[in-house]
Amino acid sequence: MPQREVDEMPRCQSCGILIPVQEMVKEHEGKPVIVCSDKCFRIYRTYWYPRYGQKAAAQGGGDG
Amino acid sequence: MVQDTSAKRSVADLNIDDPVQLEVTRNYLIGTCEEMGAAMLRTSYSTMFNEARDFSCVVFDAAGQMIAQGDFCPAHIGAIVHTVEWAIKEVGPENMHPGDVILHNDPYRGGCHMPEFMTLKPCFYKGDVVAYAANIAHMTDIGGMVPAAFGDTRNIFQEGLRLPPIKIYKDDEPVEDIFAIITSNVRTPKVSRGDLMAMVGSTYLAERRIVDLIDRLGIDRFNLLSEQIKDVSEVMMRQAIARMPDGAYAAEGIIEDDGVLPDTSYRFAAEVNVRGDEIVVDYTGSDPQSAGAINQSFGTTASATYATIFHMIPDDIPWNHGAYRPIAIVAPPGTVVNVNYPGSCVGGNSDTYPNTMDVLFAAFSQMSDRSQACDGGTSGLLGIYGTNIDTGEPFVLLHIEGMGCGGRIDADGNDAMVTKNGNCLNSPCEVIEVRYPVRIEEYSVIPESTGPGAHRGGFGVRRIWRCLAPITISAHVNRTWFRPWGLKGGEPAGNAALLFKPADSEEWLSAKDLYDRISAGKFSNVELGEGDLIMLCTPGGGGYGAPHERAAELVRQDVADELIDAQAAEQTYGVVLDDAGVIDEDATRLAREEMAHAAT
Repeated sequence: MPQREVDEMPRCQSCGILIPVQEMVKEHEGKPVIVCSDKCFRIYRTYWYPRYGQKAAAQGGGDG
Repeated sequence: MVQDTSAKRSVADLNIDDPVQLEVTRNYLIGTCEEMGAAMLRTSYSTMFNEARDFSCVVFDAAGQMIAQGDFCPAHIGAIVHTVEWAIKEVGPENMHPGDVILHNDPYRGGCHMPEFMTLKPCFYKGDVVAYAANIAHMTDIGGMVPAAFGDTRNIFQEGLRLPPIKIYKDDEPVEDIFAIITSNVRTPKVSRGDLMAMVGSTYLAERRIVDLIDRLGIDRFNLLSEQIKDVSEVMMRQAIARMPDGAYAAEGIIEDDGVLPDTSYRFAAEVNVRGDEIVVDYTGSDPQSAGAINQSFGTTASATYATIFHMIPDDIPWNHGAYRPIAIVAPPGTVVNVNYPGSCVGGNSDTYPNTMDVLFAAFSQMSDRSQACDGGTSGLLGIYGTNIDTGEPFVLLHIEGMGCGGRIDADGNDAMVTKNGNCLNSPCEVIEVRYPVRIEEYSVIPESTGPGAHRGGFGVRRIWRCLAPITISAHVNRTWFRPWGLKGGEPAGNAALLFKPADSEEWLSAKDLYDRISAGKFSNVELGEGDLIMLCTPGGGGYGAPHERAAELVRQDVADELIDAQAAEQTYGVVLDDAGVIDEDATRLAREEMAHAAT
């Protein structure tokens, strides 16, 4: 069973959990967003991005 | 089959066709979890399991979603929803076969901290996975630089053996290579193997019970009832949240040190956002992760979040995956609430966790009276390593101590209780003395530890140990200078202390002063000799409400019980007693009027 090392795993840009496998890559505001679930994508769109997204983009980041 | 319940407003909307069968099935599954626990008590080797009950047993459906939990440890049960989900995804259901048991303790993979080993058994029925049984339990020793793991570790490698999801059983046979790796890297190989076998055995028991249930119901009916179990909880949870006032409620707290950097505390920030029928708890603003072991993994932070919210909700909601659905978490990576690899986090699940809950309680107190004042908030963890005098066998004891709980709107805080994330028992003095080369010379309530209030905080305890043989001691104790806060006019409680008196000394000193450690509460591998003494005092709980509003009769009873003296009754609570211990009503009224006036 192939496994990624923890320092190779992406994090959900909404909740921050490490994603060992099967990350979801969604699109928001024309940019890819990595999330762990549909629920987190909704939280990203309706909570995280309105609050932190523009500031993060201005700083050149974007991770949750 | 996953139902979308977001549009459902009441349980009636779910069209449950047989609510009686639903309840019977739900309680059967809970009973299965409790029976797993009973098996653990009777078959495990370590006092961590058969005395402290530091384990949790849970049943999941075929989708890896929790459908039943027993009355075990909140710290486990909150994290396990993530631990199991990711173990299933990483191993892959297609790679699971009858007779498999998976083992996993990786905190970065949805786990809480490394001592919590999870055994996960896919339960098969006629060739298909129909459920999962999980047992997550605190292994006393996991190797590493510190016996029992808790001290001043600086990275995950120092903590001990880290295991991603791997199979320790295949075709109903132990994978002896895996057992050999584990037993070769721990200080108590016989105890550790025995404990692991007990965990595995409990999952086999659960599989038998689940198969029996499906034999009676049929697989389609079982699957439908599993969905209904979750959906009912989700609807009830959303209804309860919707009754909370919308808004953002923020609070913060600290962990006083990490055992690595001198005089450095760490800030935990939390904002509870109530948005209709869901809650988003945002930990943005928390400090970057520490150099020591006080960090929380994501699993731990999520668990603390769920546990606090469940405390705030009426307790007739069945706790399963459905109840977790309306809760979302934002935990910035690389902070104290979501440690990055290879940061240490063993203390996060034990002592930082109750601190996080206290911060959330403080946030919730802004919109609900159901909250509570700050707990003692430390497990007073002592890891003791040595050799049994009688048998010559190595032993590791992880001692968990009780502390005072915070006062509440309707009750005093509980006394001498293991922290709210643990729900564990400490070991009786008699058991400790029989199994380990120590004598308990004092075990008492600390009267001055309580935080005064209309409902006072619970009392912390003092325990004095005498070493009967050389031992090595490590510790992870919080609140040695931070005092648990009161709420709504309640006063702070007394703090913790961990002191030593060598056999040839008359003075009690801390590990900082006596053994040149950075922290008085977090250190590793102090060598003690025969006759040396250890004193652990745990914090009390903060008070709730102004002390002068405490019922005078309760104050009189506290004096009669020798929990406080008459002077404290008058000076702190404004209750004046005569020489016979009877309340002087007039003097009390005057004293309390003065106190109320001074408080405005």
